[in-house]
Amino acid sequence: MSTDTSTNIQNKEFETESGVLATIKELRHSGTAIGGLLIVSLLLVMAIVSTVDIILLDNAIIKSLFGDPHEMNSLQIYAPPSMEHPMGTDQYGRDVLGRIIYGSRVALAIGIIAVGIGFFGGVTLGAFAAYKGGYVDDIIMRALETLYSIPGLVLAMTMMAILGPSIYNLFFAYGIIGIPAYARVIRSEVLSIREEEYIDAAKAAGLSNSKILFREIIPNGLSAVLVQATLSMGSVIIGAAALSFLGFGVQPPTASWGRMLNTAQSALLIAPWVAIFPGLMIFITVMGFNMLGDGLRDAMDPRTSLRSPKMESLEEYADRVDDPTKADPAGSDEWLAGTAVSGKDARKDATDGGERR
Amino acid sequence: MSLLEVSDLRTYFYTDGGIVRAVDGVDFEVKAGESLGLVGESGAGKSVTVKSLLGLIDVPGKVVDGEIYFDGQALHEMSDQELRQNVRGSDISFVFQDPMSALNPVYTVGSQIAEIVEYHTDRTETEAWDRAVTLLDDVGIPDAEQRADQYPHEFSGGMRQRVLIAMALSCDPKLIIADEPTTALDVTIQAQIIELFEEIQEKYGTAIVYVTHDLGVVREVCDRVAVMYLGKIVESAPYDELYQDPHHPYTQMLMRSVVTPDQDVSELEPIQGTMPSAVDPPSGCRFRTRCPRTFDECGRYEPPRIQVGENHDSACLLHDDQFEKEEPTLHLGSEVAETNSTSGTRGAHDE
Amino acid sequence: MSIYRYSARRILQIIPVLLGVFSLTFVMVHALPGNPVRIYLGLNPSQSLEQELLAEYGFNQPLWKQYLDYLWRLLHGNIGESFVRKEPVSDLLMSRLGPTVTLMGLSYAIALPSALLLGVYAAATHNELGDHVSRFFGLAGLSTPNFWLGLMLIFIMAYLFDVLPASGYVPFTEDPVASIKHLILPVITLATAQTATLMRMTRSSMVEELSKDYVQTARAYGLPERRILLKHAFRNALLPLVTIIGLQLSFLLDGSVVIEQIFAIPGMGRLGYNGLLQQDYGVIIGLNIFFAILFLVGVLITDLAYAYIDPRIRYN
Repeated sequence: MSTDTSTNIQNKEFETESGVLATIKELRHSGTAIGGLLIVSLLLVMAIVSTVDIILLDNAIIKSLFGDPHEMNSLQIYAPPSMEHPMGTDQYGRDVLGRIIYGSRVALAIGIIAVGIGFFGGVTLGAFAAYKGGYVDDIIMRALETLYSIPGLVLAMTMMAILGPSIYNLFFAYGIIGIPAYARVIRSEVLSIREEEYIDAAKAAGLSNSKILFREIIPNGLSAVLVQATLSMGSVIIGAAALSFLGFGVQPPTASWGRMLNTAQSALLIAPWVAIFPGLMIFITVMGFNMLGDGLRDAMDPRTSLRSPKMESLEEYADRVDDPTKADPAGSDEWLAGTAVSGKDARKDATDGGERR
Repeated sequence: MSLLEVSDLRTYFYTDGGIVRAVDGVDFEVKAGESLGLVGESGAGKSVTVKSLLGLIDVPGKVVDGEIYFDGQALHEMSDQELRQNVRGSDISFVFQDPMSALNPVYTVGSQIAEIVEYHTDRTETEAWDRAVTLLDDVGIPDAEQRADQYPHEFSGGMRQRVLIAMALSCDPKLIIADEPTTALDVTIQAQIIELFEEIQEKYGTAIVYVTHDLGVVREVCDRVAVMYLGKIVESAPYDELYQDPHHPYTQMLMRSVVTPDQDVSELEPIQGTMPSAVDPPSGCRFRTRCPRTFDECGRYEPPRIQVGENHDSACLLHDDQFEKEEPTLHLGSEVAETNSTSGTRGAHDE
Repeated sequence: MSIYRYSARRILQIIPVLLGVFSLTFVMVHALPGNPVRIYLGLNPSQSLEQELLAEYGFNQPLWKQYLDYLWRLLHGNIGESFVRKEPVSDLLMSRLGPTVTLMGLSYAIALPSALLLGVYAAATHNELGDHVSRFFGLAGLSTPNFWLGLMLIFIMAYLFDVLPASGYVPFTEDPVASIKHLILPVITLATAQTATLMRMTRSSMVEELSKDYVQTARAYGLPERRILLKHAFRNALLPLVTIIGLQLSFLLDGSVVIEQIFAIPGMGRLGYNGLLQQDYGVIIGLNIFFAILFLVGVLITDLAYAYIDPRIRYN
């Protein structure tokens, strides 16, 4: 088999740590992943604090900090950013910053719930289809392809028209729309893992088929689906925001970034800040999820190393490592980037194929 | 004057877990028209050695030391550009291990060979194409004219390997390096390919360096053999002599572990233990941790290559006159425990 | 299998999916709140008229018969009638095909070359600064909501600097210069996400190819790195991209709905948007069907192109 001798030796040396730990350790080296994590955490904090604020504290926090997102003040319509209102006010005089912070709830909720529906629905269907094979597989995949062939936004619009414009219908619609992508990823994972030798070993050891499915196959295939989930968080958030922007998603007075942009459209000339900030928030949020997803994918891919190449030359490096007195006391964290080793990996194909906008 | 002279070649890989000393002081020679077999277990450093000759080692690896003289030229001093234009593919060519993937799937076989001919020689497009067809014919591909227009996937494994060999011959190289060219093939096809190599040697007088872990193949094709272990050459000799009179303990064990038709299966002995890490190799002689007979000195310094016959040397203290009178300690049977201490004491296992 | 068998197989595979789409839309029609005819007639319909139309449209027939009638009509190209305008949806869509196709076509025209160039560049400078910068912009392009981008571009280019029109559409045949001026902002908005996605795919495809054995062979034979990149690796990397390009049609169709609304372009997307506003279910569902067909045909075309370009499929 065509292998690079260095990797041969490498593989012999170093014990492989369990998948999760190894991934987390890899992630530490990825600037994008860390950045993404920070953004997502920030969003999470905003959403949680807002929720607590609304439910328990009657908006006390936000009122003291920025002003009531729901309070209308006809004297301050479309006020430009100022100390009092760092992001200005909207057409009802409401503080934009406050509404943006509150809007994080909708964004996060849509992300989690819609992706959750898609994830569980998709993994179940996909694994089942791959597992059963035959015409069951065919029927399920054709049905999912049907769902997939109508462009997402258009289908969501239609579903909202049928079900009525409420936020729960929005969750549901985007959840259903997301199912085919997950199903496809997990199905391709299951199909490729099924051929692996350790499955034969499990069968030989007498494990029942469903046990094999749940204990061996699915956990190994999950990493690809996980990456898919993080990446599709972003697209779901944008999609839902797009619907709200068009007016068919979240309804007022609920604060939602997409919805804010809807009303901002007509005021673009006189109050651009009402359009700039909500959109910027969407951008940053989605960017955060995408960065995290990207970092996750690179970390899970056994072929790439996230550690960036050192700027020093190889000689300097060799000198440093050879001579203990010059050694990095922190333990030489920087290593040269490993070049990709030849060889196919269905995992990577699966993940790439599932990447949507 | 040898065609190829390699002295003190060292190639290291700088990896997450340490420096892998894949090739750690290797010397060998190949005369014009001669075929040298480079044998050893997986991980011995054979592939890395030959790739280092052409400067094909990529980050995180680097050729850190050594002199490579080919046909009078100092390869180790040449820039990548010089190597590309003057050496790779033209004077020295490579036959890779896996014929399945070594060819570009979207271009015809003929065009791939012709491209190389065009790049390295003065031939025109048509001339290059004709040459490609001729070569394909030479290596035994039927209907070469038609088949040159076909794509790699339309050839079987053995045929593909022939294509690769044709490619290797395309610019009349003085040396062909074959890196496990038969490993990925069926046994029956292997025989054909080996025959092809023999033919080439006879017909064109090309020198060949044959990298493999298969001693049976070496027996067919190679004039001389060099045995590698953990980045170093432990023994080298003409094939017949190596086979009849192996001197180095590692070679001896290799021979005993190989199935040959004239051997009783009950005599087979697997080599005890596994090859240790190339990041932190045993001090002194690297084989000592698996060697059945060691001295204390084996752990203190690396044994030099000692002449044990005409053109035959072995890197083992057992052949050193100094130790003629001494009795080595015997480690028979089960695996010898490893202690990588720098003081050089041998394995702590006591029988 | 030969390319003919492959093509035939692909075409046949579309049929059940089309059937599925038709069935799905049938379900949608009947899932609508209220009675389709009542919605069609609007508020305060007369009972007798309602009954008449119900009978005429067969809504009081058993469901399975309605389904078959529905399929029959679809196969004859009848994808419904607009509830508001009382015209066939197909006619409405055809009249608005031009602007949307122009928009999408131009988007492809810009996105493809840019993405390929940037993607190859990023792969060539793998893990160096150029790569990181490209990857970052790729990610940013992906993450930008097109509706926000559109508004920002309008604000900057139309309001702030007043160099381009904020909205509107002028057919090319009428006035080429004005036409182009009106198209610049919408096309850029639409093409951004597409370029970003495609660029990332190109990069990863190239990186994958560069790690393959045949590249090592080429290097061992001394071929120049640039030739290896652009001739050998790229040609292989292109293959999976062809499929992706077809799949992107779905996102472009979605994008057209949003872009046409922002820039007031009278295309199919706008038709759908207005349809939704007016609760014109005939148009809405007709749009679903038509877009699905467009998408499936687009994917089919790219799949066939793929079969043609990949020698492993073509010559077998």
